[in-house]
Amino acid sequence: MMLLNKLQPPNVQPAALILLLGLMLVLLPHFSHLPLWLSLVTTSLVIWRACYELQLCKIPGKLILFLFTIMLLVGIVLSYHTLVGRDAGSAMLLGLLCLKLFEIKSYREISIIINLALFSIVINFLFNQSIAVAFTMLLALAVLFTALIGFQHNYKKLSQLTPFPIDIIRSSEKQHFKLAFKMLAQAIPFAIVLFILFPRVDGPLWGLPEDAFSAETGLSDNMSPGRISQLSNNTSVAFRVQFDSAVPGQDKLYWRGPVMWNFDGYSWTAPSNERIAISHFEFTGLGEKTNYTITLQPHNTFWMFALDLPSTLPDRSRLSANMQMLSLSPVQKLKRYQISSYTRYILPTYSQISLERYLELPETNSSSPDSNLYKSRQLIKKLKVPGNPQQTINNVLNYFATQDFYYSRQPPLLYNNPVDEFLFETKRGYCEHYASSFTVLMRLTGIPSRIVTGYQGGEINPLDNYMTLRQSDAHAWSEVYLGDKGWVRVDPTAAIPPGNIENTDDAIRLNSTLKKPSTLFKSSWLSKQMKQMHFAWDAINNRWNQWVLGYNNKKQKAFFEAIGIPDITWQGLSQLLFSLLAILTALLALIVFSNQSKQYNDIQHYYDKFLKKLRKADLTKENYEGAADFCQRVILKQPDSKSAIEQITQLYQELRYKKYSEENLKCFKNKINSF
Amino acid sequence: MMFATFKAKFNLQRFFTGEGPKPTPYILTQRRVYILPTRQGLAFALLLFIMLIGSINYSNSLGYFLTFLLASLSVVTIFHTYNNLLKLHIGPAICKPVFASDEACFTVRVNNLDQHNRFSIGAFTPQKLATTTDINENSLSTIIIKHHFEQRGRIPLPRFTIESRFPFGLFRAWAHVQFDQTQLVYPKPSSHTTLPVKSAGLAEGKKQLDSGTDDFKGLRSYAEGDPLQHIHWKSFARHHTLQTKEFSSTTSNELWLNWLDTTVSGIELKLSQLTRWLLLADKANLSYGLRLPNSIIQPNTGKQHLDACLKALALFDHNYHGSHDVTE
Repeated sequence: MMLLNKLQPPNVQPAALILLLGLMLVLLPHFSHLPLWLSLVTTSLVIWRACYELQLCKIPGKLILFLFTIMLLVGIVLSYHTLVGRDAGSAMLLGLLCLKLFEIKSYREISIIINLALFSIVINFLFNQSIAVAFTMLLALAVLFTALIGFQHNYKKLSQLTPFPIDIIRSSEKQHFKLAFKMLAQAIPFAIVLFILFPRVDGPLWGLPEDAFSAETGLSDNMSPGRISQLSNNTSVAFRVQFDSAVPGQDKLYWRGPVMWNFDGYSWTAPSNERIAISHFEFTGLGEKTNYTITLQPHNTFWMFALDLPSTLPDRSRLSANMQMLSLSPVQKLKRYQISSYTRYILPTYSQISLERYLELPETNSSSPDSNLYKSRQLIKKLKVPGNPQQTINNVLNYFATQDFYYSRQPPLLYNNPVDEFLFETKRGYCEHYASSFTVLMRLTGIPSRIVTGYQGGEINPLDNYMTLRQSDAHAWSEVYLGDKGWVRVDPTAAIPPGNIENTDDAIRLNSTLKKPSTLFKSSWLSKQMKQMHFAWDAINNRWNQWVLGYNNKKQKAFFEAIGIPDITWQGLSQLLFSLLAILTALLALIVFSNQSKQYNDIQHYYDKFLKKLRKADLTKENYEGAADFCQRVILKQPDSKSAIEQITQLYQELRYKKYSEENLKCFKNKINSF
Repeated sequence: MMFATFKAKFNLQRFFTGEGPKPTPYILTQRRVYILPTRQGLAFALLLFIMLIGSINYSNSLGYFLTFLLASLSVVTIFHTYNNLLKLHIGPAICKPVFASDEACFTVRVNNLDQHNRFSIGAFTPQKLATTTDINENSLSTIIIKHHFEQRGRIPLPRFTIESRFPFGLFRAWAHVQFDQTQLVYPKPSSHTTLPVKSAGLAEGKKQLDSGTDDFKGLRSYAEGDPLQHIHWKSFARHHTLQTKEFSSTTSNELWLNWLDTTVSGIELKLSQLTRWLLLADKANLSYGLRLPNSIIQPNTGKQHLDACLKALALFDHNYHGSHDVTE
């Protein structure tokens, strides 16, 4: 059986190689989410086809292709356990697209492949919309269209439409690329106008697959200190803040997120059946109110963040009984909200929930030395100051500060009795360990307490004054209830002495938390420059997020308000859109059709004048007659003006077919006028 | 009057078949070039629609932008495709006479007076024989149009279509072109026939054959239709190749091809046979004359003479012939 097609006659199609290059560019960003095997398979299929184009190898026949397809589908099912949804669907699309490369028989397949490649670019944007990806895709677009032009230029050859030899200019691919680039450049103004003015619809039109949005966050709805041995170092942006009032000090920058109060001995959770929504704020704000706007990156959960403690609620959000702000629907796209907070406050406990639950601990036999929390109970007997909870808290914090506790991002794992193991054996951990053990100790002394997670700190970008919170800024702290002082924030991690930090990165990160000037920074010129560049890049990214990715219905309205058209309606938008598009189209027509040379018009104009003069003498140039032939004929009839006619004809031919010069045109004009 | 021009302007016929024969050069003005999306263009539009729906559904900003960019690109390509044909000066065609049912190639001048290159300009006739060409800026090129003519005579050049899908193939711009030129089509030569040995001027012919041998010029290889008497049998015996004796005397080879000598019935068939005879006689380098019911061409040789004779056959008018039939 013939499984491999025969080699084609030597006829390398540069356009095919360009198409493969474009395809590679489209595939590149997909590799970050495709399984490794599929990345390798798609790349090697593209390379295979390229080798075939260069006549280095053969391509598989129909039967092998069919087997490949089956293997691809099986592989995807094994990797994703499904064939539908965003992730599996895109994997399948890309795999089949690369297999389609071996079915190119005519121009039709080429156009299908290019359409699929364009679709893959959109799929790309579902995973990643960064500036880098956007520009790579713009380049991919130019390359794909270069290939299309190349095929279009020679397409008759490809599809064997004609039995006749075709005469084409050997035009370089560079020319095709220039044309593709030029056309893209001409299209961009239209696209920008459409982008700004096209009426935006909010929300999905129908239900999206479950994996439609994915995002990493440094937070989770449960916390199990010691179960995970490494703290994420993810520096991706969690949210950005723009302060309308003074920026609070670093020690006030606690961004409140999920609150957990249920402890089973290993993990902290916030049981999700709690559906109490607080509509009004029952706390007393002290001091100045801080006003700011948060731009939250999508993270696919309900959480929203605010500076501890928010005094207003944005639209479509609610508060839980633990004063956690929650969105009414998962945050699946960039979310912007204005909000204000008091950084100093007195927060009474929520009246409808008893304080009992903030004291609960797993049931254990307290007398057995092997039992859970046995050592902790022993410790608390020493540290507890009856009747003075504040003193007890200070004693516990002091214990952390003096008993050789270390801050470590890679602490040892904890097993059966995590709190005791941490407090008396390993003594190494990060915020979760400290917050968890502190809260347990508080409950053992009878002080109601809970865990608050969120973000701490934030970096102000001096270029655009936006503050950036990253996933690596994720933090956990405690809240204790002190009677009339209400819920008070205690950050046990901050009690660790700066010297007890295991590596410098942590020191830098914790610098703000520890409230002490650190000498660990080496502020050399280079690091300053790096920092500056980092800020610049971050500011660009922020603009991108704010104005490109976050451009929605609201932003559109805000934009038109800013340029002086408040309350623009759907109809108004369309009218404006169409009139702007009409203007752009007229401009485009002007640019494209103005290629008709003015020079040619001038030359022809004078030559026509010359012909008109001759017509008076009954000498008419026939259509089929060339200028030279006509000249000969005229000279026979009018031998007197031989030299003038010859000169005019020569100038005409030179201007028209050889080299144009203003001088010659002037000469030409004068000669005709005086003729 | 106004109404008439209005009607002419929006005549749907122009869209499908063009404006009819026009003097050359035929300039592809805005009114003469049409543009519509191709099947590939429609598929692209469908893709854009899906992309738009997807972008709305996922509220994906870059998805929106890409969709808009591609849509804009297809608007831009309308102009580029259209401009690829616009203001081309087409024609005149250079057409050499052909025999009926032979493939006629006429070369059409295409003049690009603009400062931009034209790419992949295709041309095809209603018979769908297509060619493509590129034309550099400010230069003259030719397209070869191929066509089969079935009838003899002065036939108007067929309508052909100039089209372009460059650069992306999403749109096809086209213009129907027809020149007011005609093509001279000779009758189709009949396939199997030999020269009449007994020609009309029998006495003269006898004389030719008798005296012709005196002015022997040389030998040349045998061609179909050479008279048997002229074959050089000696060389055939020696080399087994047929050689024909050539005679320098013009009068000696004089041959009359007469309408009345044709062995078939029917005007067109008779003309076909005469056409073949003319070709054979020309090949045999004979001096031949043509005697038609309504015209007589004196014996002569050479290309011009052949063309004149063929033209007479091509333009032979059988109605005219009918009136002269009686005199013969």
